[in-house]
Amino acid sequence: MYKLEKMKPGIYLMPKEGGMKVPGLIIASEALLQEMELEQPLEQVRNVAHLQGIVGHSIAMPDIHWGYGFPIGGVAATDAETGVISPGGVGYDINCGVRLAIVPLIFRELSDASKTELVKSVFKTVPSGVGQEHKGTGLTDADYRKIVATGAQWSVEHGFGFQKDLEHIESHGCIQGGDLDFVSNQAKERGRRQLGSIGSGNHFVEIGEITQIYRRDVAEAWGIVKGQTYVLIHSGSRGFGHQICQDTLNAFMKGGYAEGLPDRQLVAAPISSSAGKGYFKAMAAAANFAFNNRQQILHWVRLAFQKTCKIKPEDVVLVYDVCHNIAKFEEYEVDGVLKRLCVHRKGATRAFGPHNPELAPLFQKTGQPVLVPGDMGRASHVMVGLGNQLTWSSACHGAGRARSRTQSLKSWQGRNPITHMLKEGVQVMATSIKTVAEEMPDAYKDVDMVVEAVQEAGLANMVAKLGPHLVIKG
Amino acid sequence: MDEATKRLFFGIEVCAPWPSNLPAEGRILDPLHRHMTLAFLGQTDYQKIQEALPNFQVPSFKVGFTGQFDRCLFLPPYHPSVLAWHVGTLDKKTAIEHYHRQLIDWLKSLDLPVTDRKGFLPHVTLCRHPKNKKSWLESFIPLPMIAYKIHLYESLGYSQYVSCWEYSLQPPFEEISHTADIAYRVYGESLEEIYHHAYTALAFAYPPILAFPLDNIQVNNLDDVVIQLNDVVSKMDQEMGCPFKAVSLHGNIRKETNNILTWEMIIDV
Repeated sequence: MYKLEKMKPGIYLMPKEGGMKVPGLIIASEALLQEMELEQPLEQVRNVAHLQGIVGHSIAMPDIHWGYGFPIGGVAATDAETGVISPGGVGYDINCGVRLAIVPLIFRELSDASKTELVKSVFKTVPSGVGQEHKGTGLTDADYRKIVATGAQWSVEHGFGFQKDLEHIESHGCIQGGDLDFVSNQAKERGRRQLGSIGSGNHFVEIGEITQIYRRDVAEAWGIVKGQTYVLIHSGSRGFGHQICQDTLNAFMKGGYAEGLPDRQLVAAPISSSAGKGYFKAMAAAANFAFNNRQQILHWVRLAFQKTCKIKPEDVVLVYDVCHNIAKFEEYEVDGVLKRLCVHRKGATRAFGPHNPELAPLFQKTGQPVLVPGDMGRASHVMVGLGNQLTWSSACHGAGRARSRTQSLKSWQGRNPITHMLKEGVQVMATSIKTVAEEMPDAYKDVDMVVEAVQEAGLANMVAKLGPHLVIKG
Repeated sequence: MDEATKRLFFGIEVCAPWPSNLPAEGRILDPLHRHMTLAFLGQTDYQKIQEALPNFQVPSFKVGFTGQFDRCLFLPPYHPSVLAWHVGTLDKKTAIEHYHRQLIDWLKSLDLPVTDRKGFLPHVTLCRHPKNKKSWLESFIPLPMIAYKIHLYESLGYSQYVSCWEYSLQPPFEEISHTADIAYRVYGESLEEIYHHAYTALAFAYPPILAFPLDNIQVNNLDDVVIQLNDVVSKMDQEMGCPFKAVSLHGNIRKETNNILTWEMIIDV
């Protein structure tokens, strides 16, 4: 059992004990704390606090749930000089993330036939599900070398989107330092034909309407209007990133970097070691692959809107693209001294506030968009970051699962989840009906409660609410 | 028929991700009744066997076993009365064959009317009186199986069975609830068994992985197990796609008080 002490509204402290180097910090409302199964995720918060060089707190977001190594919804910053980097703090799906685009169409004005044609067109064009990838020979090593070094710029140069898109991607679509020399052939093989595909599990493409505006000034600045059509894309670095994580974990284990840690999945090498530097270069390579992946998926969705709704691709405007499985070097003041930290966000989103020089001019005025997908039936949210140092400018990444895949699957046995969703006003297309059953709305927490907790804790403010209508799952 | 006798046999219950679309012909056995026969007794004095059961000949192994169905078997080959799936690979094959012999010898020592066929043919009957061999051959797909419950079954006729008594081994794995991913508690009596049982758990979740068999390498620790399982995941993802991102390094191998090894395996999906 864990004793949590309330620090401020929405913020709870898990006192330091045993080998913890820092205390834990839990962002949650009282209602969420009562609902959540906390034993296993909080044990993981405690385990993360054992990492060498961890600074501040081992942090859990309100969408926290049991992962492996880190909890999902976990944040940990380590000192770049004395600390470690943990591949488990990033996860297998390196730079899994979300992007939001706005379409100049009032969703309700679309006819039912157009909506059906649109969802079918996206389903046909964007490979989704296990083993679904693009045909042809795929990426050459020369392509890979440019992708990992230049990020989403590569896709833009190859006709997938526009130069202006890059200003609307976290880190401008490129994490510096990606190096193919630190990537195995197996990783390249896994990813070769997967660029521009969704994958399986909880990944999706979703189209719907903006249902509510909470902060008109910010929404207007970002071009978000009530009733308008949006596109939300959730995917990551596919097999390329999974293999990079796996290769690194194997190498770190062989290097003895798990000694003294309460969980081997937390295995971590000093950031300054050749192993640590090598992982960062490989991780950046995977992150840049993921930026390209979402850039290309958006391209195919833009073409679907052009084909079915006569909307020009350049009129489908990218609002923002966020990473939620990543480690990044950022500077923060710690005990009055400016320090370079390696911020691990595993199922957490960066939430820079206004004036952050890393952001494009538009977002320097407002703070960065924080995209919070909920579930395919109820809602998702757009928030604006407040740059709260207590969480190293981090916020939640989704609703968080409330029940396991098996529980969800069992509860939908004998019923057709796609028919059910259609009755609820959401048209779902998927390669696997099993995936749909696993991903039904009742498998997730209520995202409204999660974003309210984030707002209450002062990490990000609510800007707009999104209502799904057309969903493509893996 | 004498009410004091029952038509009995010992069998081990077989669990598998059975397909729901088997050919709709012949007399299909209820999935709950599918088993591997260990010893056939026939019409038997029920009281006599009940008296013997407290001293039942138990296997030398404590954890059940896993295997893979590799082909259809028609018994007899011409004008078959039975369609079965043959179990091609079995972990503990030698131990199971030995146990089969031990069980028959024990029953013989009690003067019970056991049928003593030469050898042990591992198979599971799915259908009686199959008519269309072609449809069975075409519908067959390799699937994993596990077995850990030995039953004394009574045959009620028309492929209906009822368990009169059971002896349970530790299952090779059990699914445990994991909020985000999928997880299993894997059991074995050696690291090699943990390795094979973990692989079978993956195959239960996604049977096409059986096209990517485990390498017969020596596993010296849990890291070797995880690395080898992930090699299978990688190969599969490259060639046909895989729903598993990776098997995580979560957890340690623990030895329970009964000397059974356990490992909590979490798979990122």
